[in-house]
Amino acid sequence: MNGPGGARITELFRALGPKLRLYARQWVDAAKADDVVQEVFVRLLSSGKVPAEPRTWLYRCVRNAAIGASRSTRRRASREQSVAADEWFIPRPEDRIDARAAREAMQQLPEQQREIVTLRIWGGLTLAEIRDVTGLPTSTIHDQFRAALATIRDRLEKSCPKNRR
Amino acid sequence: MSEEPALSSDEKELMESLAGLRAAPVGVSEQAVWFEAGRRAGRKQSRVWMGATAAAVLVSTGLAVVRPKPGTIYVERTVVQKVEMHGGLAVAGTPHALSTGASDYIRLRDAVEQGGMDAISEPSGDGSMDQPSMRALSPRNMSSAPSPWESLNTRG
Repeated sequence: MNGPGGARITELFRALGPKLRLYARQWVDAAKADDVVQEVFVRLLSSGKVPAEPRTWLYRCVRNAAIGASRSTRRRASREQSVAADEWFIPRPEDRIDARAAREAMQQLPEQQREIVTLRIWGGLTLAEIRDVTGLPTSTIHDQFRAALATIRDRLEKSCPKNRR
Repeated sequence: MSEEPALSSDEKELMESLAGLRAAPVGVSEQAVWFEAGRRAGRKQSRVWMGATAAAVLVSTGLAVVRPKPGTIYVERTVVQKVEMHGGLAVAGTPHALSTGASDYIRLRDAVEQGGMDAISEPSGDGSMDQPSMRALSPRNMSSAPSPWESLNTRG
């Protein structure tokens, strides 16, 4: 697929690739998350057209692919250990929150809350878009998001209080 | 309910802090994605060609093994029959080729060619003929009009 469609997909890959990978990491390890993201973009290129709502479409595809992939990786306990060891964020000096602490706090969230927080904060999706991706009611998403923020704040304060200014 | 969640200032601050974290990059490059997409497209195309080739081979093998029998074709044909001559008389190759009347006509014609008018005798009084009579053979005789032969005899 060449031309404007291909350029648009390249643009989407650059802008959303890391965010989609982070989203996939909710279910699978780093290597598998890379595979999932690649698979979704290959499918998008093969389809020959960019969907009307590419961002929502991409998150939905990544979700389905990652959940599918997690079913096979869950069988292997050693793989689970490696999932926990992978970094989710790039640590930078200007970060107001320690990247590793944030990842650990995120990992302790229930799966549904973790997914909503990832989509809302790093994905930048609205509540309606999150509803489209997850299929959850908007009220549930709202409540789960607030509950997740409260849990993360508690975890961060307990784990490394100095990092929070 | 509003579109976006109503958050307290603490929640907003935490959200902004979390949003400041940069997600780790994807382990695959754009080029790898494009390459993979191209590879799969090529594989799909080659599958199509393989399928087409296999179908063509199957069809040709089937045609070679099970040959359809040629159907009966009817054509119109002109048959030219050779007519042999026996003693100055034409005899048709088949009994149906010439009717008796036509045979008499030919015999009469040949007799006139060889012997002239004298070769033809008058019909006898009882109506029987030693030799074939023009009267019986002439197409004009079919109608009530007198034949040229009769007019000749009358003049003579």
